[in-house]
Amino acid sequence: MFFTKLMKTLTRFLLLSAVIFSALTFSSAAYSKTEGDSKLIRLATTTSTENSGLLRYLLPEFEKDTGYKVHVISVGTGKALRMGRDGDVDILLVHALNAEQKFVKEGYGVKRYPVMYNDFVIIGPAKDQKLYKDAKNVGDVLNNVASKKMRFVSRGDDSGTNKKELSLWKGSKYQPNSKTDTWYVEAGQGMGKVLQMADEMGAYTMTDRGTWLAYKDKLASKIVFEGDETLFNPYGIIAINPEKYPDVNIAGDDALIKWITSEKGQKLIGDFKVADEVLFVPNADTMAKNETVKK
Amino acid sequence: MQSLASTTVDAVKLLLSGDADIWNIIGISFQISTIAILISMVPAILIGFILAYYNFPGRRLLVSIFNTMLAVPAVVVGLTLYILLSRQGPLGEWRLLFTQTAMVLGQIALCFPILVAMSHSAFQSIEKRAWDTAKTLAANPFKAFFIVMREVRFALFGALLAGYGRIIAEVGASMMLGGNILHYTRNIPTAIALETSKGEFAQGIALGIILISLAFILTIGLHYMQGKGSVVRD
Amino acid sequence: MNKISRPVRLEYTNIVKKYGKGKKAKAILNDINLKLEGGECTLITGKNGCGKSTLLRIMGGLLKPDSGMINTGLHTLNWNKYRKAVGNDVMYLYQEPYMFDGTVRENLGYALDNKQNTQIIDKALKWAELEHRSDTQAKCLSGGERQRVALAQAWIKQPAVLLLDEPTANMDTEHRLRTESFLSTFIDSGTALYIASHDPNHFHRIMNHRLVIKDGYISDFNESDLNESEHTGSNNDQDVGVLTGESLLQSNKNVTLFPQNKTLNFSSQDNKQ
Ligand SMILES: Nc1ncnc2c1ncn2[C@@H]1O[C@H](COP(=O)(O)OP(=O)(O)OP(=O)(O)O)[C@@H](O)[C@H]1O
Ligand SMILES: [Mg+2]
Repeated sequence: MFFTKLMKTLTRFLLLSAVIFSALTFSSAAYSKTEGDSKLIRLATTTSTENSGLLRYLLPEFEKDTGYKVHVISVGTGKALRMGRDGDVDILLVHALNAEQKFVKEGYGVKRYPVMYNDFVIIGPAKDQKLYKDAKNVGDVLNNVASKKMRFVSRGDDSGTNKKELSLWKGSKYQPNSKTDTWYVEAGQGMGKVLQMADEMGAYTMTDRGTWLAYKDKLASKIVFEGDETLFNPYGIIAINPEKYPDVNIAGDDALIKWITSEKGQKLIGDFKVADEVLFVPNADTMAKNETVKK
Repeated sequence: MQSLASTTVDAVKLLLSGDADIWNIIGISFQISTIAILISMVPAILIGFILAYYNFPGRRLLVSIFNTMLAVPAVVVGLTLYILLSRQGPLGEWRLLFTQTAMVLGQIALCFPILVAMSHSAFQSIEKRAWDTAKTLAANPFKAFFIVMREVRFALFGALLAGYGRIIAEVGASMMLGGNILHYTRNIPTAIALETSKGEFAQGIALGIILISLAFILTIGLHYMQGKGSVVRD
Repeated sequence: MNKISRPVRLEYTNIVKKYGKGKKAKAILNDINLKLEGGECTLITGKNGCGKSTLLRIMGGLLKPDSGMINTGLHTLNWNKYRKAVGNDVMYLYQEPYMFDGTVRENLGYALDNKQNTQIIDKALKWAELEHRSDTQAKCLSGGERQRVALAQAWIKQPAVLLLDEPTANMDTEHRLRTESFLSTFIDSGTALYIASHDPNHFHRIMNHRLVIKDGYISDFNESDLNESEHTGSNNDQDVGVLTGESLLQSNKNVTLFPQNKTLNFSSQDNKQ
């Protein structure tokens, strides 16, 4: 009857832990209640800012300075914009300039404020590094890849990075089509996954520098091209328009935009380093003292 | 890519070092799933019981609805709830998307059909005579319900374990509804998805170890309960 | 809620029960009318399959009849209301009582009201002579022992109406006679007893009325029934053990002779009618 005893103890243990867990939750629910919804900002952002560690370094400072709490939901840019359009978040921090401007023009966002930029790089097999020493712009690189039918992994997930990549192909001579071009692979995955895939396949891909720095020690691939101005990648922050969704935490949005474009916020961004390299270059036009995002 | 062995060693080290983030993720996982199962438990068992012992129009339809819901993939459940809870959706007013409550709702939707179907068959496994006897013996229907519930307690425990197993390891709905927010809605499966996408395999494996141990315990428990349910001891 | 007041006096009228649907429907009970009264014991006899259990289950509120009304002396109830009023006052004991997982003591405990003292269990065990079995797993008991557990549960519940379905079917003569004396204590305390038994000679010491179900109708038992039900020659208790076996054999032989036995295989032939 050892088992019966064991079962009894186990049952009691389960019940006890159930009680403890529910107590925990109710207390934490009560805790977040007192904090109040007005102190909570929901930020939809791209995987790159979250994965690079920038937000985990930046936001605690903001929370300490202002008393707000930021919930970060990191998804692809396309999805982040969609969340903003549906009013499911309060604010966006994304990098897809054209889409962002359209978003604001359609009235979903109040205004786009530039925050910082980083740049994209083209990576490929280490042995191909010298091939592109003399390439003048990214179009030449892509032309070469396409003409030799070398493998290229695209994010294929409608993210900001994906959009950027597609716009680069537009500037090249060849428009790849994943249906007919077997060398052009659409992964439908995040940047990290795509880097791993490209590395395993000995393929090329375009990546933001942040993710690249986080991964490069684990990969055999190398940067084959960088520094072209078309590869710059500006990030903007946009408050969701309270005229569309009245319960948007616009005061919180205002505080976050002010803080991130302030001298302190910008300096922190500039100081942020991964593997001893600066990732993001701050480029905010400091907000006028009396300007608010509220209309 | 590092070797599996060294990554696993790193993972174990991470767990033993009491890494605050990891244990926070584990805590959130258990907390949300436990609440989901606790909330679903009572109504699901009651429904299973009613489906087994009461005849009413639409009973068969209900049974097949629950059986169909068993087979619905978690992502579909997640997506449906996402659309409902989104600001644009019919329940948008509640502002529940990307909260723990939304995750709890998703997990309830996932484990409820399992609990209903399994407790239904648990109650069906004993004869109608048992229920009639319980009714004649007990002072009120509630006591009668508890008598037959005790009769099938092992099968019901089994149902709870199976339901728990499904939701604690489920990634699709949790990711969609919770938004994978650090220290809030990031649970074991969504964290594993994120960490592997970042190439942080050690973290992923550390969390995987927790899930595997849990699955192991649940399976042993399930076998034990099923054994118990069918054997008359003396 | 309409309660059943004690001492009970219930009148069942127009009880009809059919099994099966549509053309296949076969009436087991046709317009049954009967009374029961506290402190009296009624024996219902009839051949296997004549509908004794069916009637008792209806009276116990466990089976819904196709029609029927019940008069409690204060109200006339339809079956649904009756079923709710039955509550703790009417108790039906199965031909083969169901034992729950757990010891005999635990099974008796299920019959306890919260307020009642658990010492009652000890008394019930003593009453049913089951003390030596108190910690045995109830599912492991023999048929006769199970019936005694069920009786002990009834003893604890003290219902106003006790419906017993072949309560001594699994017992030897000695235990049957002892059970009869157990049952007489129920009658003495004012319980109305209905006992179903295929053998009309059992319980003659304690019964006040004897009814017989035949062709779906109920009537007072008389000698001609006795002739028909193969018990001619003896109604002496000493021989009953032998007689039971004999009667079983004969009833099997007579299966096709009597119209009510059609109910045993109504599926094939009755369709064409
Ligand atoms: N659920 C049911 N569906 C169809 N027919 C049934 C059902 N229950 C009982 N019957 C039939 O109704 C008839 C009466 O059954 P019942 O159990 O009442 O007989 P009984 O008089 O108690 O017989 P016994 O002496 O064998 O206990 C039988 O022919 C039986 O086959
Ligand atoms: Mg019977």
